[in-house]
Amino acid sequence: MDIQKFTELLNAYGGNTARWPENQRGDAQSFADDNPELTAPLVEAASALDHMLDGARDIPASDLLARRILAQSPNPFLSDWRQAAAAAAAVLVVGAMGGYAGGSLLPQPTTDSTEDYYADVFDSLSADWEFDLGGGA
Amino acid sequence: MAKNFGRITETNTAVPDVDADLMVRLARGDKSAARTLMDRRLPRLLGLARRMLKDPIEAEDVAQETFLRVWKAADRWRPGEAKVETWMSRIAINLCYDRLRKKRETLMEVLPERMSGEPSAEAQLGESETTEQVIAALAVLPDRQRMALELCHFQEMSNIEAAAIMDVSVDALESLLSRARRKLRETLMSQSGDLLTGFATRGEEG
Repeated sequence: MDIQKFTELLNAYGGNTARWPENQRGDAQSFADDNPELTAPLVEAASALDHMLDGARDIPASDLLARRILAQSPNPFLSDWRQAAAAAAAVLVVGAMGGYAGGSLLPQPTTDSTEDYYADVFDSLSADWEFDLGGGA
Repeated sequence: MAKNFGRITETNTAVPDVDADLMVRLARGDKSAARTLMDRRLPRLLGLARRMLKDPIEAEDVAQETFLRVWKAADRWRPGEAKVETWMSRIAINLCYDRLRKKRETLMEVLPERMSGEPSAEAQLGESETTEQVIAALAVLPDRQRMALELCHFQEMSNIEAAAIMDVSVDALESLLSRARRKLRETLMSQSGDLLTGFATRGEEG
């Protein structure tokens, strides 16, 4: 490390060694310790610029931007797909149970009209059958 | 005196991720976690986007888009893979990079009205004059110089990492950084009396 290399690094990375290339920090530190009269003014100037830049690091956000961002944040209920799936399953179960219970409450027919209908149908078939048999004989 | 020199403050390694718990809560849809993360990270993301894009409206769009991506990916985020702050910065940098690339394609056709980097009147609302002067000085740097400074100074990336992102050699990166800082020194030091007073006052207050 010499003053030229030290100045090059200082000009590029500024006065905070945390930003310097890791493999140069040790040598730079030793050089600065051994030559404070040379390095101190240079470091001071570089640090002054760092200080100015650091003042522009953060920019406060407007309330409107904050509201826009928060409005898009995950929904507390639907954010987890497992929760959503569980909710859907619960809705299905409740719906099925409700349907079953509701069906049992409907008035039931006192006579089975279906049986009468089938009886009539088969009566006519047997009549036709007898007719055919008779006709064919 | 060389106040900063010699005090190596490792900013990138071995630091617990203070946002990790927020991401877990966020994945469960915890709105208060969303607000805390936003309060904690939005000003820095906005600063990043503003410095890179030079346009306050575009910077807000990028900040919003960054958070939207974080919200969407919250349930896939795993602790230990990357610090949340670093991850969010990468998202924002990529979004800015895309916009700069598109802008560059049309830059030759229409020069923007505020080519000088002079901030709009609206942009100055809520921001200090000194911050505006620094941002204005950054805005007149060529894109690549500004990007190099953004990655190495503001995002505190290593030179190797920054060079890789910019697809340049470390030597080329150092050249960009040196030119950027020289130009900033010329611009800002001419106003340094006011600026340093402004920052010193703010430092005492804060």
